[in-house]
Amino acid sequence: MEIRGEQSLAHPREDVWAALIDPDVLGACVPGCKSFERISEDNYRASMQADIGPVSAGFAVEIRIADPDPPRSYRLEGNAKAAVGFGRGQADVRLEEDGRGGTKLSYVAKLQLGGKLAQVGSRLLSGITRKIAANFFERFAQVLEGKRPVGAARAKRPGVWFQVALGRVFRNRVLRWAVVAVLLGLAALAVFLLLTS
Amino acid sequence: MSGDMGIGVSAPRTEDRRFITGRGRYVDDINLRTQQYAWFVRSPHPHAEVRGLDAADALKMPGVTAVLTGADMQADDIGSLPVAWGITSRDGSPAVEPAYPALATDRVRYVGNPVAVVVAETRTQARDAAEMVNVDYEELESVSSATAAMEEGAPLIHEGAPGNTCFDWEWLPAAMAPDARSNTDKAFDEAAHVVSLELVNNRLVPNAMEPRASLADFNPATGQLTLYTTSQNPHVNRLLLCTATLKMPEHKVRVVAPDVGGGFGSKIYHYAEELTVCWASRRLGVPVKWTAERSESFLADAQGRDHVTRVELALDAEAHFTGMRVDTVANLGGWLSAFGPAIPTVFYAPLLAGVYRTPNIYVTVKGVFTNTTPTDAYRGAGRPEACYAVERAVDEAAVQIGMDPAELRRRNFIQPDEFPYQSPVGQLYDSGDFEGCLNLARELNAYERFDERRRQSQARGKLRGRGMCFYIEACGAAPSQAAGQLGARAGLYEVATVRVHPSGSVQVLTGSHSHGQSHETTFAQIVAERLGIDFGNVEIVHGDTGEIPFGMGTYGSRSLAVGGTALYKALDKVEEKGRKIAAHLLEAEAADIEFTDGQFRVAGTDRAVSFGDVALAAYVPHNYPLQELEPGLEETAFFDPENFTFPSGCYICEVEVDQNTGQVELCDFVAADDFGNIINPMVVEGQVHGGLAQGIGQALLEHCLYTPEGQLLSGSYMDYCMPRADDLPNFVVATRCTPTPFNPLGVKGCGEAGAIGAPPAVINAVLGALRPLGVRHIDMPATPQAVWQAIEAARSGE
Repeated sequence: MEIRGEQSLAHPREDVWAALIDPDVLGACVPGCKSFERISEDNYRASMQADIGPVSAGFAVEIRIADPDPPRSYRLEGNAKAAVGFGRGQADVRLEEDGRGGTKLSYVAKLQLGGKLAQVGSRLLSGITRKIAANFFERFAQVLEGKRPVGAARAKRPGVWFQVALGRVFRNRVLRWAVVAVLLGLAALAVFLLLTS
Repeated sequence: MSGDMGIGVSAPRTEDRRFITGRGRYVDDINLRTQQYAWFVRSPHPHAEVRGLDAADALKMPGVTAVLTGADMQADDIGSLPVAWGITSRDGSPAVEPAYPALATDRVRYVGNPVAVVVAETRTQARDAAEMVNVDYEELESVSSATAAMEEGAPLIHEGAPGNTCFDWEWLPAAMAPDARSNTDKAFDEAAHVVSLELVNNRLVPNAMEPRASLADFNPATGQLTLYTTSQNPHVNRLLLCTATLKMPEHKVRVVAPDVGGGFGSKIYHYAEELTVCWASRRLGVPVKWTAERSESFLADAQGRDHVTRVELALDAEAHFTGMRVDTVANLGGWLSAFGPAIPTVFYAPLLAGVYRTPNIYVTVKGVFTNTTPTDAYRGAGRPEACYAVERAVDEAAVQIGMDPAELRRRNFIQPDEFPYQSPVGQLYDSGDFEGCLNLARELNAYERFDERRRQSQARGKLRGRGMCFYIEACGAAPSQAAGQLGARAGLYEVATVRVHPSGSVQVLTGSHSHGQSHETTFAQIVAERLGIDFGNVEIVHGDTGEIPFGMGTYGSRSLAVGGTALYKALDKVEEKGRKIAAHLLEAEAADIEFTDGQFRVAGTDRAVSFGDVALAAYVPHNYPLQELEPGLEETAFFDPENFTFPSGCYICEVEVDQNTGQVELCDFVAADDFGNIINPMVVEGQVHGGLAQGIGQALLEHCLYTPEGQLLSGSYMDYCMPRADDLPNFVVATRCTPTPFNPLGVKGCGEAGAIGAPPAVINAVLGALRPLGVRHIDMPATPQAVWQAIEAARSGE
């Protein structure tokens, strides 16, 4: 299966290139990435968790950068193995200056699945790949803009909004005291109920 | 006395009470103390060298007893999985039969090819550990389509099979040999019209409701092995286990096929998994159980069809068929399944005459290895492929010469007074009334009023099409001698024992097996009718080699025609002995004794004894001719038929096509079948419904699809579309009986008819709807996408 995509990034081509071959950046941006390390000049090793249709699996991934032409283009060759089968692909990545100081990144990827992944996941592959790519570039842009820490890859989890909301509450002094008062009131009520029961 | 449940009555099924109240006992319901569970490590690659296997991590997992490999199997001298039918190529060389180890030793040839087995205390433990077995594969180039595998430069799958050709076969039956080819070519040279079609018969997954399962129990103290397995033919499995693979004496092996939830052919064969659990149980000294999960069934059950065929039909100026040429490429998969080479050859070519008097037919078939799951018999097994080729060509001819397809068929029918009819492709047809069947179907379809219905559909914005098929098929493969000459490595007889108890109730031990066919009902009806005893006093026992005589099981719609006849003949013997006992009791000559309605009577008198009294006398022989007659009343008959039986029938299908979406809706389906005599009309109707559903599934929905390299894409019900009740119309089913003279019951068999006749009827109907748009061809399955693409291609003039 062939998948094409394009992404506009508001950063100079050299910066984009440098980030694209930085394992820490990649580790922070690849969804579900647990580890990402460079094992030689052009070879990387990663482990990631991915859901493809009904199959959720841990993958051991090997990636090689072939034909690098900094900062214009390179080819990625990847191999992912899991107990439920394997995935394999090549992606030709091109970086072009967009004339406004930014970079146009385009890619053409060829992907193959094998084993159970192919049996139940093939039909879903293009949708899933698009989702993973979109997710990746969203994070990648955040990294380039310094809005996302690198070095610690962490997947977004549902429930984050709750922590965020709680954080806001506790940054506001009035709300903070209001919450403490309500909690104390509830505790007193509980003690009262316990004693009178 | 047979009461109301004799032959010809729609007796309610005895087995239903057990099945619909959850009291069935299937293999997975059987659990033995200390049993362990097997999980298979399967290749994710369509073609690869197995360079090594590291089980160290798996062995450290909790509960794991063993990880066994193909090398372990070789060390224990386990034989490879046998091919049960040998085919000879046209140059006289035998088909290439590569040794097929149950666990791969050096190379895997399809995705799902077993490589190792993990045995653990629980199924989950075995499964988790199987994921830790590290197999070092070196991937090889691979190919999944048979036509691509034949091309120059295609990856070679078996060293001994250049061009991936297993066999290159031509069909030269005695009736035509040696001039079949030249005579046929001559017919084409002189033809007024020639029709030529290239057809794909889509690959199917069998999808029995119960997945395969095996539980092996080796007793080290007695040396006895019991295998509970989902089999259509437990004795055949035992024979192959004992003589070819496990190599144990037959008296030490018992194979039990208890309740089995559907087979459709896929449970005929001796599979890797059942052999492996037997061997593992013997090696480890514990019972070992394996139950397939559905995803495994998609990979590991032998698949069906997968032909590419060029069919040509020659007609003279009066629209008589004068010749037919058929050239087929059959995809056999990565290895040969037991009957893999026989299905696209000797179960296919002999049916290519259809119901017509075509005098010259020449057939060639190439069997090709590919990196896919092995193919074998699936409901119809060769006959659906033959019927599809013939009936698509006949419809195309009708269009080409501008004749009503029913009239073209009628003009070429074999006539009722020509039976037994020797076809040019080597079959001796038993009986039939094709025009009668056609007229019955036309009447049920209201054939003359089709234009009216078409206009109504048009008014709703739909395209209506009607398609017809007249199938003939061959049931109850026979006789053994002829089959042996054609390469069969097994007998084709069947056996039954009738055990009359002292009280007069009867147990039948049949070598035939029921996995949905209703033997417990229909066989009991035969006994009730013949012995004049109550239907409820008959018990049908099948499926346990420890109980039943050596029989060949169930496949090819043979149960009633062959197994039922064996029963009939055993009943003859019971009746004959009963008559002698009765003659003694009544002090008359045996020749003067009549047996009717359960009474042995001295002809022309009122002196009689009941069947029950005779049974009692046989076991309490106080007043008994012991000098001339053994006590007891138990008789066995083996029956090897002298010929197949040939059910036939006319199916008419009407569809509505939505040209905007490509959706095909079945509006009307008429089936007029000739099954010979019928024991239980309700059971027959049920078999027809099921067969039609499967045939319609092939025509409109089902498609087993691989990538060009051999990765299975349709590996679950998300991608493999099975027919559901709301995909089907209310079938109109009728029968028109011409009894076969080749068995005393006059029965032909009904299990596969629907799956054989439905696909061409449906596709002819779809094409009937689409022809006004310029569509001339469509392959199965005619999914909305395929139909829409065909419409668009026709519109853009491609």
